[in-house]
Amino acid sequence: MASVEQIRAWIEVAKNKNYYEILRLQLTASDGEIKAAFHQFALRFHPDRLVDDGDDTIEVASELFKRGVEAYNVLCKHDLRKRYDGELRKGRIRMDIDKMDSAPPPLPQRTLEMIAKTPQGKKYAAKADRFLSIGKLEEARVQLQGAFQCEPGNHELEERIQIIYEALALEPG
Amino acid sequence: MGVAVGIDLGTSNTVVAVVRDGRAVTLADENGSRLIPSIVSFHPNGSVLVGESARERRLNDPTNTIYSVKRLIGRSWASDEVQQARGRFPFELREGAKNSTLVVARGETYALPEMSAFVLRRAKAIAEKALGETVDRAVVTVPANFNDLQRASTKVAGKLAGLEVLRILNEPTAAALAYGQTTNQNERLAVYDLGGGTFDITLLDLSGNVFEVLATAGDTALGGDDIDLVIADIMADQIVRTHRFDPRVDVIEFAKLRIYAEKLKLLLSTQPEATIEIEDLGMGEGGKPVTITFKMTREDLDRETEGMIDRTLDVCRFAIETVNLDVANIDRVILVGGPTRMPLVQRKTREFFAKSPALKVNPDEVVALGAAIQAHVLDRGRSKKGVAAKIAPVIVDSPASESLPRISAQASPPATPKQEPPSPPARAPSDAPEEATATYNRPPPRAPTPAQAAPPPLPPAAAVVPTRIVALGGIFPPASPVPPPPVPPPAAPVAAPRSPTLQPGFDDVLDLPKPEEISFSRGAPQLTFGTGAIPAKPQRPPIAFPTAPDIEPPKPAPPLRRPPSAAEAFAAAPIVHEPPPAPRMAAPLLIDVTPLSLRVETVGGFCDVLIAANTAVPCDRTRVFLTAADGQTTVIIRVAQGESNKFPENTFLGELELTGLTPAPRGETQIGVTFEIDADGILNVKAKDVKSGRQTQARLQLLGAQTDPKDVEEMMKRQAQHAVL
Repeated sequence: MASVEQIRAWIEVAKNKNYYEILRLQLTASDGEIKAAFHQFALRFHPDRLVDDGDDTIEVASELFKRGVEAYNVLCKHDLRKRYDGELRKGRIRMDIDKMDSAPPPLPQRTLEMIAKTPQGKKYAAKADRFLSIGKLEEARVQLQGAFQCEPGNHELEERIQIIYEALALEPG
Repeated sequence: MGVAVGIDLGTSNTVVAVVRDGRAVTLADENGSRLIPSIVSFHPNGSVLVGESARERRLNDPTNTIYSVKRLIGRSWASDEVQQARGRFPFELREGAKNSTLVVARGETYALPEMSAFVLRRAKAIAEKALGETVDRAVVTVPANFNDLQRASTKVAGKLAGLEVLRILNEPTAAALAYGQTTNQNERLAVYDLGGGTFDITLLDLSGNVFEVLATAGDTALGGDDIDLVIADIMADQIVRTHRFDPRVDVIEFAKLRIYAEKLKLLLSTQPEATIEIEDLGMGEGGKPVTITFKMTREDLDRETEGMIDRTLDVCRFAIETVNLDVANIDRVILVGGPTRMPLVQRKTREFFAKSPALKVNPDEVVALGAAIQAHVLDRGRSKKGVAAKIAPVIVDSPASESLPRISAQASPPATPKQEPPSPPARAPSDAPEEATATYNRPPPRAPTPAQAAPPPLPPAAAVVPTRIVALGGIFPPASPVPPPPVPPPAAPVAAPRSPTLQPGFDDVLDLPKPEEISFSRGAPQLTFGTGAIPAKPQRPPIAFPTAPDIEPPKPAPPLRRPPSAAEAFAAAPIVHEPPPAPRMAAPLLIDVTPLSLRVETVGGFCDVLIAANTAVPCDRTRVFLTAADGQTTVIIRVAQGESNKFPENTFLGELELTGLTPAPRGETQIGVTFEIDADGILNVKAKDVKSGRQTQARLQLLGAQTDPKDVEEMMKRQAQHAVL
C-alpha cells in the first residue's frame, strides 16, 4: 500500500483535481463506470482497508477517501452531476465549496457594556465596544482595562481582555 | 491483548459472536442460551442482574428492573419518546443535567449508557467464559437510523463496559455482511430489519467484496415492543369490560400485561390462535388480584397490527425512491429481527417486494454474526503484528469440535467450566426464540478446514490490468475557465463479466423455498454459519479473509518532498476499472452511509444541509461562517439531523461554540468549520480562522448527551461499584 507521504501528496494533488479526475473517469462515464471507479477508489483508500498500516496511514487515507466520497456523491446523482458539469465549465472543481453566502449565525455575543456591572465600568466598556467595532484593538484594550479596574471580580471581563491580548499578539507589528 | 467480538446490542435481546477458524459463531452462556435479554435488574443485595435472571424479575421487582433502554438512549428528556416512556415503564425516569435522561433504581440514578454498559458487560463475560480469553474490543451494532447522539451514547456504553469499540456498525449492514458470506453473486439487497424497538430498511449493492450501502431509512420508534403494546391494549379493553378495571391506570400492572402480550405474540407466530392465563393481575386499591384468561387469534392480531407493518413498507418505498430505484430492482430481501417471524410481516414483505425473503439467515443472530465478521476484519492489522498471537493457548474442552465440519452442531456448554458435566443444552424458557443450532447438512463450503486454511491462490496477475492515464491531469487543467473538450483517455480495460462461480453443492441452499414453505421452524434451512461449539483451535485462526489481490502501485520515485506534479502523482496510481473477480471471502469492504442529513440553522428557523442523508462515510464538509456583529468573539452554530427544511422539525443535536475569535468588524472574521462524520456515523467538528489559518476552539455541546470525559469518568466509577451477574 501507498505510504503516508504518498497519500499526503495525493491529497495535495487532489485539491486541484475535478471529481472526474479524482475517481479517474472520463467526462462521459456511465453510471456503472462511476460506481466501479468509486469501488476501486474505496478498495485502495477506505480506512478499513488500511488497518494493517497503522493509525497515521488510516488518518491520511480517510482524508483522501472523503474527497472520493465528495466526488462520487455528486457524480452518482444525475441532477447533481448535471449541475456540476456546468460548474466545471466555469472552472469550479468543487461543488458548493466556495460558497460563503451562509447566513451568519444569530448573534449570541453580549456586548462588553452588558457584561460590565457598575455604572463607571459600563462607561468604559461601552467605549471599548465602540473601539472594537472599528477594529481598534489596542484602544479597546485600554478602555476594557479601565472597566476591569472598576470591578475586579468580573471574570467575564477578564476573559474578554485575555481574548484581546491574544488577538493583539497576532496582529502584525 | 484479547479477542475482538461482535455484539448486537438489541432493544430486547443482545447477542455476542466471534470469528473462529474462519467462521462466525454466536456464543452461548452457561445455560446454552444465545440471546441475552437486554434487561438489567438491581438486586437488593447490590448486585446487578442482566439477562434471563433479570427478565424473571420484571414481574416481581418491576420498579428496579430496567428494559428497552435502547429506545431512550441518546434522547433528551424533552423528547416525545422519553415522555411517552415515563407513562409506560414501571421504572422511574428523571431529568438529568444538560437535558439528559436518567434512570432511577434502588434510590440511585444512572445515565442511560450505564444501563447499556451493564448489558455489554454481561455479553463480554459470556464471551470470555465461552472463549476462555479476555475480550477487550468489540464492534457494537446500532439501528441504521440512529442519530449522532444515540451512536455517541452507545459508544460510551462500550467504553464503560471495558471495551474498545472498534466500530459502531449499522445493524442491517451487519446482517448483509453475514448474508454476503453465503453467496458470491453480485446482488442488490434489501435488508428489512424489524427489531424490538426500531425499524430499518437498508438497500445495498454487493459486488465483488464491496458492500456498498445505497440508502437507509427507518423509524427509531417502531418495533416489536409496539406490537406488544397493541396486544396489551386489547387485553386491557377486555378487562375493562369484564372487571370494570382499567389496568392502564397502573403502570406496574400494565407492564405485566405487556409481558403476557409478548408471550401471546410469540405463540401466534406459530399457531393460528392462542390462549393465555394472566395471573395475579392487581385490581387497584381494595381489589383482589385475579387471574384472567385471554384468547386471541392470529387474524385479530394481523388486523390490529397491519397499520404498523404498512408504516414500515412506506419507509421501504421511501428508501427505494430516494435512490431512484424500483422494487423490481431488488434482487433479494433479507428479514432481520425477531418480529419478522410474524406471519403477517412475512406475507406483507413478500407482497411488497414481490419475492420471498432469503431464508438462510437466522433473524436473531445474523446481526451479531456480521458484527463479528467486521470485528475480525478491523482487528486483522493488530493480530497480524503478532500481539494477539502471543496469547497463551486456551484450553477449550470440546473434543467434538476437532472434526470440522460438524453436522448439526449442538449448542455446546461453554468451554472453560469443568465442574459442570456437559449437560444437554437446557432450553431457555419456552417463549425464547427457537434453538440456534447450525443445521446444515454439509460442510459450509467456505469454512476452511484446517487443511485448507491457506488463502486461496490469488487470481492470475493478468486479471489485474493496471492502466495508467498519465496524461489526464495535463490535458484537463482544473483552473482553466473554459476546459477544452474532454480528450478521451486511453480506453479503459473492460473486465470480463464476473463468472458466477457458485460453489458446487451450494445452489440448493441458495434456492428459495416456495412461499408456503416459509417458516422459521426448527430444522428449516437456517444459517450457514455455525452457532454451535467453539472450535477447539485455541490459537488465532488462520486469517479468514485472505487479503484481496492488492493493487500495488508501481513503486514511484523516492519519497516526495514537494507536492508531486499532477502527472507524477496520478501516474503513480494504477487504475483498474473493474474489480478483478475476487472470491467474496477476500476481506469484505463495507461502504456505509450516514442515515440522516446533517443541518445547520440559518435565519428564520430554516436550515441548510451540510451533509446529505445516504452520503458514504467517512465524509466531511467545510463551511465558512462570517461574524454577524462588530467585535464578535464567539459564534454559536446550532446543529441538527433530519430531513426537514425547518430547523425545529429535525432532531436537535446541540450547539457548536466557536470561541476566541479575533475581534474585528462584522463579516471580516471568517471561520471555516469542517463537519466530519466518521466511520461510526459520529459527528466531529474542527474550525479554522480562514485568514490566519489558526485553529479555532470549537466545542460541540451535545444535547442530553452524557459523553463528556468528566461524565464518563463518573459513570466508570459507578460501574466499578456493581458486579454484573
